[in-house]
Amino acid sequence: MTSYDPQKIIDIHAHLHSDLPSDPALRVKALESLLVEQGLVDPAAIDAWIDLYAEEIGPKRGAHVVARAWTDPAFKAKLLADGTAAIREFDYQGHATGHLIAVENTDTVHNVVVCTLCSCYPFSLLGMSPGWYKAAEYRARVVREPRAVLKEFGVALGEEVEIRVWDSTSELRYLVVPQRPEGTDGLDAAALAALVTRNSMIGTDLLKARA
Amino acid sequence: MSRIHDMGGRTGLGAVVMDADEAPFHADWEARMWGINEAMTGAPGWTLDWWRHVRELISAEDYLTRPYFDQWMQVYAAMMVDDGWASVAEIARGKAERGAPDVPPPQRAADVPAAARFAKDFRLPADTAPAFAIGDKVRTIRLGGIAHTRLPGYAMEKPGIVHACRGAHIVPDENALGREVAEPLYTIAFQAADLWPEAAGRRDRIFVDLWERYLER
Repeated sequence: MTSYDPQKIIDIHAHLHSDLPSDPALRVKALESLLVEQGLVDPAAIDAWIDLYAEEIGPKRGAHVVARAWTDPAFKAKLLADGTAAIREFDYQGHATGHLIAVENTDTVHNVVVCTLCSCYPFSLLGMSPGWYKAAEYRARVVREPRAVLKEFGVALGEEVEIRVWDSTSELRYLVVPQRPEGTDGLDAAALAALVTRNSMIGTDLLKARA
Repeated sequence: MSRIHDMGGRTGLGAVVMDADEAPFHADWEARMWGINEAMTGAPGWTLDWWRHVRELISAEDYLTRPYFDQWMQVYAAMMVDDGWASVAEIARGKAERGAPDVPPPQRAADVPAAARFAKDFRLPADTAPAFAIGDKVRTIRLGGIAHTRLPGYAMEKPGIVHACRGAHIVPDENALGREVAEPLYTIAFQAADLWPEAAGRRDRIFVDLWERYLER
């Protein structure tokens, strides 16, 4: 039975800290061996998940959604009204996108997303999250000094732009719809999608037309 | 003072270190650990917020220094020991000395595509109507101790405005104790200047999703 007892868990963590090998590769290998022996995991299913997120599920999905929003006003309205329903049109629903909120950048508003308490991220739309998104520096600082953090990403915003920081504290997940770059009027949705970076959909990049 | 995972607003941290590439994993063991997390059969009591709480209870030293997916390993190890599914020694050796838990067979590779397309809905019917409406002024409460909550320390005892009403969602503080109850969830807008002493005059805003129990008039 699960104890739900924090003090018991603190004691277990102390034992694990002193008794497990230090090398994470050895720790994970031992855990997987034990789980396989006990019939709790099938290694082929682990392989299938890794292949899926290496090949099919990644930021290209989010880029297609953004490019469609740029080229189809009715879709953009739907995306902003109900993100989860909108991405279902692409069959992109899945992990952590059951309550997707799209927030739009404009000339006067810049959105940026964080999870200060852990690492919440819209996985089925953007794939695995980058290391910096899970790191203490970003989680601690972007809610307090967003302009300084964005500058480290090369994003310089004028004082007239309001920064909105979205802290993913619930099961809602946020997708930033970046601004369409200047000079892309002739491009179709596929060409536009190629311009959309992962970071722009987190809010830590501004997009440019390809030179 | 808040606990180690409650990072928002901590000072004294350096520049954000960018990833060298966009690869989803940077070592095989990271990919294996993430895949275990997706594919393994857990105990019935392992809720999402119990998982989060067990990670939050990792010592500050390990939380700040052990690699991210290595902490996941430690979460699963701790939950298994807690449930009596393994001892620390069995996990260290990767060899069982006890019978297997009585659970259904694990997920197969063929089940993965459908599982990856499942989007969980965290809303549930609630007993009461929302107490707040868009535009209402609210003030957040203070919580202490080591219980799991999704009210960040930096947003405690602060004034905010209801930006959106999101329906009744499962309350994480209860879910971490194995109880599924729902309560109205709101997105609350805070002015930067109300959160940070050095932010006077700044017009930036911070939006935090908060449950009704965290809010007062």
